[in-house]
Amino acid sequence: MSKSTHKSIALLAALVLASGGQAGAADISGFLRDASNGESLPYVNVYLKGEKRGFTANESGYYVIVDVKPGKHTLVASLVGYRTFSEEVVVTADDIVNDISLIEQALLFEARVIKNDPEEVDDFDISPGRTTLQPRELKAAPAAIEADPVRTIQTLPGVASLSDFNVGLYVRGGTPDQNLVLLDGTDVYNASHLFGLFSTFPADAAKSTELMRGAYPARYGGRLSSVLNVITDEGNKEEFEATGGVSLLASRLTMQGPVGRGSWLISSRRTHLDPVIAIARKALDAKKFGYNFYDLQGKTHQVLSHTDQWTLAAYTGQDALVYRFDEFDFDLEWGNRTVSSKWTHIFDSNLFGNLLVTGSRFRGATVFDTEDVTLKEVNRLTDISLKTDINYVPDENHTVEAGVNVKRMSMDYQFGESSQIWYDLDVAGYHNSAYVQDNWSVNRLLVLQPGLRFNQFSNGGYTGWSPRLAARYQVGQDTYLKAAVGRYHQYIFRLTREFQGISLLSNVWALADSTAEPSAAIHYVAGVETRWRKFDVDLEGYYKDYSNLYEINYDEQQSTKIGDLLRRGPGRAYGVDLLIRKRSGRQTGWLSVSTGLSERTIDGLKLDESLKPQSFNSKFDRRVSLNLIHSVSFRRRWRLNSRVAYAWGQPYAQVLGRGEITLPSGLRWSFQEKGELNAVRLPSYQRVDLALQRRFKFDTWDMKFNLQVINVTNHKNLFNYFWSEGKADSQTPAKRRKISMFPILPSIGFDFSF
Amino acid sequence: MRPPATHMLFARFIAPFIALFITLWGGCSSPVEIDNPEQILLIQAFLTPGEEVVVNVQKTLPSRLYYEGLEDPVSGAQVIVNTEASTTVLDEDPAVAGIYKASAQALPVIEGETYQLEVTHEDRVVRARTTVPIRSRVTEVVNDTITYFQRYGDIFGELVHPGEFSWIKSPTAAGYVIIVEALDVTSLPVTAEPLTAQFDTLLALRERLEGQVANDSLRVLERQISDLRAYFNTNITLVNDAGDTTRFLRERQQEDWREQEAKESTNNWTEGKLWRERRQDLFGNRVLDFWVPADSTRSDFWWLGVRFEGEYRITLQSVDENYFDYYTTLFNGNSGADSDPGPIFHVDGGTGVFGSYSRDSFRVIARRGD
Repeated sequence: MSKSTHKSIALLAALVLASGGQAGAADISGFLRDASNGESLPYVNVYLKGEKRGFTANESGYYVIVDVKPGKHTLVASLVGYRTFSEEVVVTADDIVNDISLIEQALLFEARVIKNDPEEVDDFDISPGRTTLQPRELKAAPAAIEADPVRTIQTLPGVASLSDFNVGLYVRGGTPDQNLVLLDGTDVYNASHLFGLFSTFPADAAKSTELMRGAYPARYGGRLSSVLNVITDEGNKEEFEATGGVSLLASRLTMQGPVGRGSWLISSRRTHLDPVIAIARKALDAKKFGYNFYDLQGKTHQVLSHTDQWTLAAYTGQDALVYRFDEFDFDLEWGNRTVSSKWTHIFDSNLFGNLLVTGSRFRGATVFDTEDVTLKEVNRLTDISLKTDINYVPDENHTVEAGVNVKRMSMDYQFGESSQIWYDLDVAGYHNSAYVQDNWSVNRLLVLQPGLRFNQFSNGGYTGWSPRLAARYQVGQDTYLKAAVGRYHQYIFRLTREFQGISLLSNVWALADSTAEPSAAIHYVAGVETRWRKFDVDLEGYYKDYSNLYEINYDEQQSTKIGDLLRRGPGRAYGVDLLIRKRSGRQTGWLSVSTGLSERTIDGLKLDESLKPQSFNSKFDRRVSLNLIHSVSFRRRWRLNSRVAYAWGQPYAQVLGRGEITLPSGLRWSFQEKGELNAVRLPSYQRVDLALQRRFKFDTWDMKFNLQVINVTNHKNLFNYFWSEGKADSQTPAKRRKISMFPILPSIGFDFSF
Repeated sequence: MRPPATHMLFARFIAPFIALFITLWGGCSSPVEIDNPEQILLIQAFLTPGEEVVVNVQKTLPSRLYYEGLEDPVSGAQVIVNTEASTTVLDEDPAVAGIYKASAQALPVIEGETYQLEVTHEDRVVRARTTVPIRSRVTEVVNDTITYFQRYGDIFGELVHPGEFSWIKSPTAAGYVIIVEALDVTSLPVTAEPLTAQFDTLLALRERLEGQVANDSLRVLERQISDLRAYFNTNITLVNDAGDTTRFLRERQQEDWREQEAKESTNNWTEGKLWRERRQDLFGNRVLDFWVPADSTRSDFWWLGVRFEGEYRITLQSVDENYFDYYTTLFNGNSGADSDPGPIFHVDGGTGVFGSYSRDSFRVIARRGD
């Protein structure tokens, strides 16, 4: 071996030793769990008191603080809703495995205000626009009939909804298909029931719901707008537990308990609208009319050893509508199925990894049948993924995350009648990606998060680099300046056929190909977060620059190429979001205020005199919106939740005139002459909701009666205008009618657990 | 350097932002609708060889005044059609406002020829152009006599293609529109509905005035009633030109037709109401049209479009881009989606369709098998 080789090896060894930590220092690591049921707790802040060093636990509840000097230290763990954990730890030269159990804060019975530790660092995660909601917060917002995690998310700043009938998330000028929706790491498409009235996510089994509203890190990709990450419970590892409830709409039941070296969980929900359906059937004079939806989720989580855990989960949910009237039948069904298997392994205290295999399938089918013809439309989107992620903490200043994702996606769409298929699209492709990112504590005040993601999409041969950079700088005791920038790509999209405000029959997904390029966006975010007295305050501005946004091309009737079925063009969105939040104490809640603009310039739409497209307000452009969520407990067993909402109305195109064309066959068809696209707005949206809960305890049963009133003031929020045709026989002109959203809507429900 | 205290940051920065935002928000107003929007010129014309050129000039109607069938014809417009070789000024029909014509001799419509339209009214000018497609000739018809069995409706819903036909492709058509038309059934368009309401008014007036006015006055009223009744009998009927009564192919529909007359007494239908129901039944079932793409050379015809016994004319129209683009998008504009602006109209300065087509046709006989 030559001298130069010796030198190289020595240098390399020195570097490894230097990066591997300080001499005599040790790592403190472990899992954070709920003391009552053994449930792992993600996103817990774990830190060493007085040393400004800590770690935010990952999704599996694992934390590590590396290179801790020998001696006595105070280890603190805090999570909203749990009592702060504090323990003295004596560190020697050996790594310490210290699993922590947190005790849930019984906030209903303890009216004492919790004082925050002034030395606590709130959050070691520097992602801007990131909001995490715990189960209690997910149910804080009064809901129409049932608590819904996504409906609660819609009250956060920067998140708009089209109407009371739509759970789609329009995040900072993005459409719902631009959100990466993950259920325990598995992609979910079209996560809604009852034509968008409810989401598919079970409020009872959701352990944590995290929304990143923009400039999200390199760990995530494939969508332009945001990430909604829902983590469900693993199951009670200590004892059998059941929770459930009955509302006017549905019944639900979640059971869980210990099995093997871990737990199991089954959660289900099903409608029981049959009496209401029977009344509707008679009113419609239908031979048959039925609607139902169900969700069924199962999971088992096994702690094989300290270093290995395994989870197997599956979900199925479906909506079905059937309507039979005289000579025609109408059947509509859609639903998701997912299955996932996850193995987590601790290679070393500072090296943690996941291997996740997932499968997800969305299917929508519409059948229209008369005695002479049967029309059928079916769309399936299937996604099979293999994901690996590793977390590596080489020293106290760096947390490196890296991973690879291999995903096979296929979409098939068929439309035709019983003996002849008119459209048949069958596309498959691979979306492969790899990423690396580092949480780098440059000094005691500045943290940077550079990241890089590489995408490769086989359909069309597309590749793209997505650099990301986030920064956080501490300017005060609890005050941080934040900024982030990132590039994003999207290779699949939903062909929206949304009626103004609802998502009926808009379930068709397509993949990018040689005729339809992927969409892209650049996000710029900057803001400040601070704590003022008991309130967390987050003020953030954003700018998003989109390219290759798609709208469905209603004019194209013949082509089977995806590119021909779409109109495309650039867009942008910018605005300011404010979130003021109180998360502990007898009164909790948040105030969210948003002002923002979303506009697009799409080929063929809003053409000027030289036939060039001009920019127009997106339909989901809510220039100003405000949500106030408030929850207060009183007299030990009572809780009052309330919501006040305000938003500018949706933009629309005014109908300026009507006309008719008579064809050579003699048939006549009317048309509407419309004004400038989305140049006027519906009246503003205003709503006040109240929910009163009374808790009872009977033996081992915890019960809760809920009385909710949606739209207490019965304000008529406009959903849409439509023009009637008038009556030719009496020469009665057309009238513009208003369709309103939810009127005052009381509902009752009963929840239980034992 | 000591970082500023948190509360100072809030007081100096965030609180004023909230105050400013609330002030601006309260003062902002959202855009309002246009009152009394201007109506635009609407032109319609479908040129075809062998027929006179008819251009219908109207204005669109304000939505609050519109009802189905109502038109706002434009009189006194200057309507000119240019070809390479000629310029023709169309004359307004003295009997029907808004209709401008040129005879087939004055302005022959020829396959392959391009026609440019210019309509001037007051200070508005509308322009459009069309090139008449080359005709496609029907070359083969499979099953020119088709028999419908009642059990098809109950069991064999899939038996939907009793026949098919083929043609030679047109080299210049943008697409095809196929019309399936029952020749033994007559009905009226929606513009006749006010007449049925007027009929009821006359009947009510007749009943009220009986015994109150002189018989001569009543006879005038009765003549109006009988004229209208005769008009409806002639134009809303299952009786063909030869005097034979045809039937619905489906017994269920025939039963519904028979029951309609009884509804005058059982459902308190007026006679005008009865004529309206019959008009809609026959008009809606008499004609079916659909399109096929330009590269097609064959089509099925379905039971869906064949509702009556008797003779059917199936017409293959080779249509131009103006006609085809409008036809394939005529249902657009009702979804409310951003990308759904409405039907495609290739008209400058106004709206409407200035289209053309050439055609071929054949006959099919539909029979009831049981």
